[in-house]
Amino acid sequence: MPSQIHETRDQPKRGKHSPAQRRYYWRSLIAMAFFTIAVFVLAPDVSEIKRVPAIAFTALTALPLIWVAYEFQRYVRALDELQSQIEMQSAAIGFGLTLLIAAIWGLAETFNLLPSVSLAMTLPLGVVLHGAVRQIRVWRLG
Amino acid sequence: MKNRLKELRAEQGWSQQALADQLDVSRQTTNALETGKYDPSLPLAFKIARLFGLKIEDIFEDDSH
Repeated sequence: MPSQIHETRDQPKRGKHSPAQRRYYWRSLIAMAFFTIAVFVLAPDVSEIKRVPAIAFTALTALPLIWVAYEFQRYVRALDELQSQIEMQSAAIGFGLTLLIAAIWGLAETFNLLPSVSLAMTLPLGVVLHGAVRQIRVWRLG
Repeated sequence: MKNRLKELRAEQGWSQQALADQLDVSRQTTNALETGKYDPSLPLAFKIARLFGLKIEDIFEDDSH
């Protein structure tokens, strides 16, 4: 996809997002909004439903997460080598931290030190930490 | 790794964005290369060398020794 790559790497002004960045940010935001609504608004009402509709609801709720993963790999492919390195390293650190936090939280939960939290929250947490690490790396590059 | 990218770009009278466009990278990457905060991959180093009509070792200098 050479035309897409060229379009993506064209960053006319400092601080402005490229078309690929804008596309990724907006689509991720929309997907995460669907996910959040499904988990926090709809899930409590459907918690008593039978097994088959529950499986369907789970699959539908997972779709926005799969969409975010697809958009992320598409976004990274459109970046240049430094930008994709920053994204991949930030993702590794962000999701590594998420796993660490989830494991420690799980231990604390086992000993009734912390309340139970849905595992579905690990991906949104990972996305937030990934974004934070990316911003730090970009800021350090100047 | 030290490099002469900023000097060579100035000789051509190019902006960072103009250099970035010719290398098909972002301006952020050009800036990181010039300031020595990022060392390019071998394909990008060759691309830079070809653009300025020089050898890689004429542009980049390994300062680890």
